[in-house]
Amino acid sequence: MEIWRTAWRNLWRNRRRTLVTLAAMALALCVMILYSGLLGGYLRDMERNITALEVGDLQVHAAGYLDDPSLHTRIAQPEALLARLRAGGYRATPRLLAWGMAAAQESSAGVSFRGVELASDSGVSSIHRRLQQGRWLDSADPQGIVIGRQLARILAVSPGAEIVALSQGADGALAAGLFRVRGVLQSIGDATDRAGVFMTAAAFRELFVLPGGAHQIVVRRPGTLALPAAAQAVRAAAAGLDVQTWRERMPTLASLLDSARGGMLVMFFIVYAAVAILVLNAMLMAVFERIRELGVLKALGVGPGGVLALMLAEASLLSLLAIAAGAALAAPFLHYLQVVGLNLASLAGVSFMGVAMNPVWRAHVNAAVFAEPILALLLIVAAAVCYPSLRAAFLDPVQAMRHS
Amino acid sequence: MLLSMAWRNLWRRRRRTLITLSSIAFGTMLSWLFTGVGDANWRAMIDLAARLGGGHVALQHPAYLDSPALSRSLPSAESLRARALNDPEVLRAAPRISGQMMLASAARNYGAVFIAFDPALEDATTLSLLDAMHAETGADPRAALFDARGRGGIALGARLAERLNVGIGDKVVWTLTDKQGEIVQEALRVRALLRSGSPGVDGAMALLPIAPLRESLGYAPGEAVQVALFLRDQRAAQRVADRLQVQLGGSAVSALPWHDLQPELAGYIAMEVASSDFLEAVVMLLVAAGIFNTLFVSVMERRREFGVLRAIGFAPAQLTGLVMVESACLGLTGVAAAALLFLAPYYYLREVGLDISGLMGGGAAEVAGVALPSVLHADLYAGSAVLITALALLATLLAGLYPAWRAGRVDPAETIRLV
Amino acid sequence: MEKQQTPQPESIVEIEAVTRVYRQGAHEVHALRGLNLQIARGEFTAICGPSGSGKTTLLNVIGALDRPSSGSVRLEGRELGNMSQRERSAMRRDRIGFVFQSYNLVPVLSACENTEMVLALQGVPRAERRAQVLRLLGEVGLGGMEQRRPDELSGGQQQRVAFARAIAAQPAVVLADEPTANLDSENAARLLDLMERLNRERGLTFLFATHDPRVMARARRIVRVEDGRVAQDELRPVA
Repeated sequence: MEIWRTAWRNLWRNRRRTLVTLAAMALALCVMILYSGLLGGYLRDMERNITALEVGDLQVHAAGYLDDPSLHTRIAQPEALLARLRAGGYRATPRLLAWGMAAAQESSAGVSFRGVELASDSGVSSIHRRLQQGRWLDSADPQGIVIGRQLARILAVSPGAEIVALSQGADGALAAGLFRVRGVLQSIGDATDRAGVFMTAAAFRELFVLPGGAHQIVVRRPGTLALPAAAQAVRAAAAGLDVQTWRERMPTLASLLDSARGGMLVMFFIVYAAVAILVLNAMLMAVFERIRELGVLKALGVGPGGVLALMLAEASLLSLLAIAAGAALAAPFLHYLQVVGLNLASLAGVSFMGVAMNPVWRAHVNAAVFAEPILALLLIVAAAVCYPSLRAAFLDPVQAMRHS
Repeated sequence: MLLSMAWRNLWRRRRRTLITLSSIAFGTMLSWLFTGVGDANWRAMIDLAARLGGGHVALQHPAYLDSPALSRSLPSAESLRARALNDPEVLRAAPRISGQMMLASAARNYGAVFIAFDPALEDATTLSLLDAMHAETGADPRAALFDARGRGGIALGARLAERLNVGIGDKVVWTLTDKQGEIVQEALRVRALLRSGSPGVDGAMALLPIAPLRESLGYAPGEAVQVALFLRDQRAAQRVADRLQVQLGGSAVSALPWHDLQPELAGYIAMEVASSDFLEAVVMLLVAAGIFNTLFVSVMERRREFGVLRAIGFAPAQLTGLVMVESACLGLTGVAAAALLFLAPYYYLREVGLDISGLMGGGAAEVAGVALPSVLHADLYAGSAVLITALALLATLLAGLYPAWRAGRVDPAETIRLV
Repeated sequence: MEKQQTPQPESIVEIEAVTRVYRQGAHEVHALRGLNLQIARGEFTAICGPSGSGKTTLLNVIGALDRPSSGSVRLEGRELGNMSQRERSAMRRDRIGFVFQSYNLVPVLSACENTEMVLALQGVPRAERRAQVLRLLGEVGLGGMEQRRPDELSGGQQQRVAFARAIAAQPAVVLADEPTANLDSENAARLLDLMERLNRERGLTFLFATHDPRVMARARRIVRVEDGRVAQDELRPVA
């Protein structure tokens, strides 16, 4: 215990230097905690935007559909599969997909039509809550459609406007229908923003003369089940069909998100390298200021181990204080970032790999958000104090005492 | 004399000074490298975005940005193009018709984004898609768009062609709303495919020559939807746009810089720049804390010496000045060391680059539809370098202020009594 | 200002009823208690007294390093007590030379640079002050050692550099606080010879705070300070 008390007092012999070193360490730690929290939030939100808005955890298509997405390549009996999945705790909804043209008063655009089964879709996707204007689809309004925000701009339409949908029906004849815009979506992702036209499944079936089947089943796994396990289970349930996880559907994005954690290591390295130099210098100064005194200690018979322990105790106390201060400093900011978030209005509509980024960036808080930066700080401080401590431990007492 | 004294004082504690210098050098070099990579990266993305469409500055109908309909065209695009080229910062200018069309084959139909361009005026430096264009003949892809009788065809994204189930030589029908709001259709032969690796291009883009499309849409010969301007330096975009807006005058044309055409990309870049600036500021702050510690301790160690200097007639301001000169020496030496350390990695990043495609799992990362470079290069703008250097020196001087003030406040009577 | 051109002996230092009180923690220390003293131009005077008697404080007050708590200290007729810090710095630079017990040279500067520092502060052009300093260093017996740093000089040599520094700017008075305490007898004698010679040849005024008998033996006036007052003031015939 004596050693801790001595170390504590030594720490405060040069108050200002200790405070500055401490403040710098705490600041670095605070920044890294916030950064780690924001990164966690970003990754969570990206994954959420991917899985909860459009793609889902898993997608089921008829074999060959993804290579050649034809109106005719459908899952013939989606109801049976849906029932099996739901019985297993999965949420799942069928989607109908087709391409064609939408024409408004003065413009037209190639679009992607999406037929949505309203009752089950709201349990799978939160897209019905992401409206910029107007309202989501309603089964009582079969002529109502919801469109992407870029498409609304291209067609120069807002809710209430009429749109003519043109395509080719399953019967090979021209499919044409008059619809009314009910709602315009917020930014969802490149493809949907630019070309998405959502309508009820019933309206879709009528427009395209398509009595049964579905092109796609979007599946959300139960929260407790990991993605690979869920994929395995769904594959078993959907024999003969093509089952893909969102990671398989968007491999580049998935690997980018995975490597974002690696980017954080680079940040740790950079910020903490600056801290390491600071700590190294502060500890060296502490050793050389006290060199006579350390010489006396050694002359009195304190061994290298004892001096080493004293220096390490000092560094440990400094680190503990810095961790306490840094974490305390970070906590309110982190809370703010978690609850309110950074409002990056300029990011509205920015997509990353085709997936919308949230304009409000919120932090994700868990133990790792604190633990990782703290651990990294401890490692770097440990590395930085090695040299000064060893230097102090193996001083030659005679020379040290002669030192002026 | 103050200078040589300050310089020698620095080296009284060699190890400490070296450590402090290394931290200044580290922080400064890092900031240069980070900003240099950013400068190169964003320029590459902005240039690429310009070459994907729109240019660095676009001339278009004032209402086109909000609702891009083919009816909102520039009837005098040809003369605007000629006048814009008079601007010294404008390198190239290309009239375009672009928008969305529906493409149909016998079996399918899909929406596509199209760009109609003048093959005589453009090449891959203005329209990057031309790089991705592969014709069967292997000849100049621009020529390949026309058949033997000079009739124009169309180039389709490879994936789009696959989905439409067409190949080179097959016919597709496009559908558009023309200038009068009437729906027009026309059949064209696929004469080339676009293979870029980007899903946004391969799955959704179509290129066609502008002249035949003008006829089909009822445009006059010199008419276009947009004149895309390419500048020597993308940073001049706002300035050139403002200047052209005044020169070309009138309410019939607006000159828009790339960040108005692609606010999403601009927003993303602004966020990335802000976060790298923040990181650099944090590192600089940590470096400054280290400088403060060093200078403060060195002043405290030399209290007696300062007391003696005060006794023989140094004024407090002169002692403060001495320590400030020491801190300036520290800063300048640190920056010089940073420059030495910086050269090799910078040269490597500039000439070779760092391949980060591994991080993307081999695919192409895209932000706001613009591919991120898969090889990181560095190309530091002179302005950024000067700014960072100035800030590093300022941080050193600020960190020196308090220790310097303390040096001036040393009480000679008291410190000499410590003898 | 109203200084009169009185002929000999002109007072260079006039101290009237000076007190100096320090606060040391809770209690006050009375270092000077109403001390009176006059020093004339050309004196070679030692102030002695037991340690704690107030002689260093007296020297500091005369040297414009310390302000008296009350009373008046005049140097060449100018009151030091109410001068601003800037004026006192200038006073020290131009009119006072200090020699300390432990030399106190600036370790990073050469003998030459240490000596010319005050001249540099006064703004004397470089070539001029160089020449002046080289001459001076030759005079104190350090010819050929001008470029050595303090740690390359012996104690005696360092003290002679310090002395050269003190007189380089031709001060009105040289204040020497135990200048010989760290010197062996040969070096002490050499330094004192030098000081005596300059006192004789140039009329330079010297004021020592000391209890070194080697210094007292040569002083022509010995002022004994006890408990912050002048206890004894003794003039001695020129040997």
